[in-house]
Amino acid sequence: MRWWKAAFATCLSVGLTFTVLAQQIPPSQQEAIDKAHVDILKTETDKAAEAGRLTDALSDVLPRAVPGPVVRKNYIDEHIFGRMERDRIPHTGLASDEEFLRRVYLDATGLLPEPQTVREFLASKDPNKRDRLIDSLIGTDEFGEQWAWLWADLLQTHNAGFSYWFKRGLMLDRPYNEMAKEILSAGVMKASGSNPVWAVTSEPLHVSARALVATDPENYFVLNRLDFMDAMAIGFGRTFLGINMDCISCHDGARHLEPLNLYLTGKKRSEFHQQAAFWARLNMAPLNMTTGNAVLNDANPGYVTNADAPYHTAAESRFPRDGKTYEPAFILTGEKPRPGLDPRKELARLMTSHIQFSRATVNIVWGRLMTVGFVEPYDGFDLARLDPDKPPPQGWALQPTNPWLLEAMAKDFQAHNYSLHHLIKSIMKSSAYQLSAQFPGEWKDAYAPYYARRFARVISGPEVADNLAHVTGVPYDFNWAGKGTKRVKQLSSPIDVNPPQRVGGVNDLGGEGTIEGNSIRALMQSFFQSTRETPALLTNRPSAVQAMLMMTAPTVIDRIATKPDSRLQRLLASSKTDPELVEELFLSTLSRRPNPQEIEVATKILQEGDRRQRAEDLQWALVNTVEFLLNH
Amino acid sequence: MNDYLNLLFPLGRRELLKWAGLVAAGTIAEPLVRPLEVRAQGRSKPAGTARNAIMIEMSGAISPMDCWDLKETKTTPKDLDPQKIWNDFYLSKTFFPKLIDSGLINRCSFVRSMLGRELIHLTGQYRVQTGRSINPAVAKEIPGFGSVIAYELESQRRETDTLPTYMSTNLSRNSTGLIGAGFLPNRCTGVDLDTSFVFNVFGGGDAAAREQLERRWLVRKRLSEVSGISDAQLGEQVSPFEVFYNYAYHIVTDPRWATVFDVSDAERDRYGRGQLGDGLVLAKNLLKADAGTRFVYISESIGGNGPWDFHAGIYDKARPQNLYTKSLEWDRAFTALLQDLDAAPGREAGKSLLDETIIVSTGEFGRTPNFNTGHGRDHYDKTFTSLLVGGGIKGQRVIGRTNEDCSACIDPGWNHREQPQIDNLVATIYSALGIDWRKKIENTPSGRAYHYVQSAPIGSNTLVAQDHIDLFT
Repeated sequence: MRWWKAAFATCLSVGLTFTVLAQQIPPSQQEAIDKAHVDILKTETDKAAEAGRLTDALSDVLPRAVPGPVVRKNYIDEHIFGRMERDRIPHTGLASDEEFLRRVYLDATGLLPEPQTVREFLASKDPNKRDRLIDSLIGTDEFGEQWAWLWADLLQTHNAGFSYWFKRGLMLDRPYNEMAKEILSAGVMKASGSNPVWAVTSEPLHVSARALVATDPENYFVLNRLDFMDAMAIGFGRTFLGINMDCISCHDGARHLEPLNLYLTGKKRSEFHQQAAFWARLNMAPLNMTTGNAVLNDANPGYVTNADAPYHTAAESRFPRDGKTYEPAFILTGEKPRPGLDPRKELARLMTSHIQFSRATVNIVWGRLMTVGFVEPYDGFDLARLDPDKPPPQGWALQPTNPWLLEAMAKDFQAHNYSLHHLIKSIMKSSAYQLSAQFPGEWKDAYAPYYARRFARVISGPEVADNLAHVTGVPYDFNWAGKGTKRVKQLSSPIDVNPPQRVGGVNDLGGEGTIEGNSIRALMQSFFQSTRETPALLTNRPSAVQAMLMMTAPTVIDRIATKPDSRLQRLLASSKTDPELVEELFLSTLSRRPNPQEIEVATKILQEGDRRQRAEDLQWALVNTVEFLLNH
Repeated sequence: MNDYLNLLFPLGRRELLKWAGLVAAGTIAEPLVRPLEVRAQGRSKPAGTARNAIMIEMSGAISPMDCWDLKETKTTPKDLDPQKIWNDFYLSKTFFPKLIDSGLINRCSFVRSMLGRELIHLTGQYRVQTGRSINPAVAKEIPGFGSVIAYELESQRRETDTLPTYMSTNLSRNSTGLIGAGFLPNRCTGVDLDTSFVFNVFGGGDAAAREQLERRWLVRKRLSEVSGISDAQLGEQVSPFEVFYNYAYHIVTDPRWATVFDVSDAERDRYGRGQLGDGLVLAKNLLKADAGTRFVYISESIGGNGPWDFHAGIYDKARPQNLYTKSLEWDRAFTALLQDLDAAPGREAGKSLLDETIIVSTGEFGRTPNFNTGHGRDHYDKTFTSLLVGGGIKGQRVIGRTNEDCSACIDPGWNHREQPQIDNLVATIYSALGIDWRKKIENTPSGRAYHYVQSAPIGSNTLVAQDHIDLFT
C-alpha cells in the first residue's frame, strides 16, 4: 500500500475521482470537470447491468439443466425473493446439482472438484447435501488460500508472513474485527516479514525509512513522509470502510464531489488529515537495512504540515498542505483517541466497531460470491445514501442494490462475532446464491439489481492457473522459501511465480524469471490478476488475449502433453473405454457429464488416430471452452 | 444478445474480419458507439517522414552523466574511454563500442535538455507509455500513445493487414502493465509479447506445433458444435468469448505471424538476447513482415522497476548487473537493430527500413549527479538525455546543454523556454508518422478534451511546450 498504489487506484479501477486542477481552472470549465466525475463513476455502477448482459450473451453456451424450485432458506432469501415478489420480477430457478457443485467449489476453494466427487455428489440422495458440502469446504486449506489471496489483493501486499497469518486466521475463523485490529495497530517489527501483521504497514514505512540514507535534497522519499501516511489512511479506508478518501486527501469534498458522493461532499481535507494523523508519529528506525531489522518508535513529528510537506509533489498530483498541525480524529465520527493510549490501537477500535466496517466487509464477500456487490466498486460507498428510512434528497437514489439486505447482513455479521465463515456460509446456503444462470424469457437490465439470476463470472487469474494444474494433474513446482508448493495460491503473491533472485542492495534487481513463471504471470494478468502494485481489478470480462494465451501459453501446452502421473497418463494406462475416458475428461474439466452427442463426437475423435494424441487434443479443446473459463 | 454484440463491436462483420485479432487486452465493451470528433487546433506541420516507429523505454532510467551527456566528475570511473563524437558531444567507447565503430552513431541525434516531471518508475513509465502525466480524474479513459497511433493510422490499414497496428514487448511484466486503448476503440489496444516464451510458442520453425494447433482447433470446433454453438453463427448468435477465440486464432495462424518469431539462435545472439535484444529482434521482424504492425513499444521489466535502476553499485563490476553490462547490452542490441533496418529495403524506392522508421530510446527520468551511500544514483528530474534516430531524423544533432555535472539545464536548445519532456518525444513520433500532434478529441466519455499533447499537466507547476522536437529539417 505504498502511496503510488493509492494514486494509481484512482486512475485505473475506481469510481471516485478527484482533480487537483480544479483550483486553477476557470469557472467555465467547472461543468466539464463535474461531468468528468459523474461519467467516470457511472461506468462503474453499470457492473450489475454488464454482468447481466454478459451472462445473457453466454446463455447459449452454458449447460441447460431443468431448474429446481426455489425455497426460501434464510433471511437473505426473505430479502431477495420477498423483494422480487413485491415488485413482480421474474427470476430463474435453482441451479442443477452439477452447476451448484462447480460453483461452490470455485467460490469456496478456487479449485474444481474431482470427477469422483462430482459422481458422489450427484448420486447422493441426502436432502441436505448442498449444506453439508458447503460446511465441508469452508475452513479447508484451499479455502484459506482462496480468500487470503483476495485480501492480499485488496491490501496490495506481497508479504509471505501476512499471507500465512491471514490464511490461518481464515481457516480457524478468527473474528475478522480482531484480525483487522491487528493489521491496523501492529507492534514492534523485529525483522522484515517476521511479524505478519506488519505486512501492510511496513511497506510504506520501509520506504520512508530510506529517507535516512537518501542523498538528494529533492529525493522523493524525503519530501513525502505525510504522503505515505495519507496512503495508509486511504488504503485501509478502502478495504475496512469501503470508502475512497483519495479525493479529500487533496481538496475538500465541496465543489468537487457534488455529482458523485453526497457523504464525501461534506467532508473536508482537514478531516482527512486528522484521519491520517493516527499514523503520523510512527517511525520505523532501521537497525539493519539489509535484513530489514527495525524498531518502531514515536519519533516522527506528527501531522505537522508546515515543515513536512511544503513541496509541490508533481508525481503525486497532490497539492501542498496548509501549514497547520493536525491531531487524530476518526473520519466517520470525529472521535479522538483517548489520552495516553496508542492512537493506532484507538483507531483500530473505532474503525472496527463502526457499522460501516461490517457493511464494507459484507459487501466485499457478497460481491465475490454474487459477482456483483451491493455497492460497486467495493470502495465506492456513499454513506449518505444507504438508509431507506432516511432517503437522500431529490435527484439521488439509494446506492446499494439492496440496502435492506446490506444492513441486515452487516448487523448479522456483528451479531455473529464477525465470523467470516458464518457470513460466507449464510450466502452460499441461500437460494439466492444457488439460482441458475439460465433466465427464462427476455432479460432486462432492470432485473440485475434484484439478483434475479446467477451472474456468470470469468474466473480469476490464479483460478485459471491452478485449475489448469488440477485438470491436467500436473501440479506446479514453485520453490518458495525453500518449500515446494503446488498451487499458485499457496504462494504469497502473483510475483512469486518467479523465484526471487536478489542481487543485494537497497533497490534490488530481480531475476528474469522462468518461461513457466512468465507465462503463468502473463496468463493471470490477462485474467485481471493485478501485480499488487496496482489495486485489485475484480474485473469480469473476456478478451482475445485470454484466448491467445489459453491456446498457446507454455504453461497450458506443456501441461496437456502427457507426463508420468498426469491425469491423462493415468487414464490412458487404465482399462477405461473411450466413452469412459471422455466422461472423465468432461468431469475433471467442466464438472459435468458429457451429453450423448458430446460422448459420440469425442469418442470418434479419440478413435481417429493416435489415442494419446487425440486425448491430449480433447483436453486442450475442453480447457479452451467458454465453460471452463466461467464460474456460472 | 445482438445489442450486446453491437456494443462490443460497433463495426459490421466485414470490418470485424478485417480487424481480426485487434480486439485485445482491453475490455469487451466498447465504451462509446459514437464517432469521435477529432479536431486540429493549430498549424502543426507534421514531418511525415516515417512509416513506422519504435519506442524503447529504458526502464529504470539510464544515467545521463555517464552515458549520453558524458561529464567527467569526481565519481566518473577512469576506464570509460571518452571519445569525441561531434563538437562538444562525447561518448564512452567502453559503454557504446558498437554504435561508435559501426558509424551508425552518425545517424543518431540526442536531446540533452530533457526534463522529467516524475520521480518514481510507476508514474514515469506511465508517462512514457501515454505521453502525459497521470491524471487520476480521467486516467481510465487515457489511451497508451501507441493506441493513438493505431487509431490515426487505421485508415491506412489494408485488407491484407492482420497483425495489430500497435504491438509491445514485456509490458505486461512491468509495474504499469499494458495501458489499454482508453476511450479509443478496443481494436486500437496493443498486443503485448512476453519475450521469454513467444519464440517457443509462436516460432514458425516448429511445423509440428502449428499442425497441432490447427488439429486441436478443429477438435474444439466439433465439440462446440454439439454443445450448441457453431462457427456458422458468427455475427448472429455467438458469445463474446467465441468472437475473441476466433480472432485470436486468426492471428496466431497467419503465416506472417510465425515468421516474426522464426529467429535463429545466431540472430538472437547477435542482438544479445535478454528482454532488450529479444524485444528489438521482434520489433525488427514485426516491421519487416509488413503485416499491419506500424508501432512497437519495447519495455524491459526486471524486478518491476527496470534494469537501468542502479541505486547501488552502479559501476560495481562484481555485480552481475551494472552500468557496464547494461550499456553494452543496449549497445549490442540497438546497433544490431539499426544495422538490420538499414539493410532492409523500405517501401519507397531507394529508402531503407531505417529511413522509414523513427526510433526513440529514452529513460523515464534522470539520475542524481551525486552518489548515494551505496555508490548508486537515485532518481532525478531536472535533466536527462534521449536518443532519436531514423525515420527522417537528421543525424548528428545535439539539442540542449547541461552544466558541469548534469544537475541543471543551461540551455533548452530549442525555440521554447521550457525544457522538452517525454510528451515532446511522443509529439516527435507523431510528427514523423504524419500525425498532427496538436489535435484534440472533444467528445471523450468524461467530456474533457483529450489533447494529443497536453500543455498543462495536472499537478505540475510546469507547462509543456505543445510542440515536436524538430530534428527533421
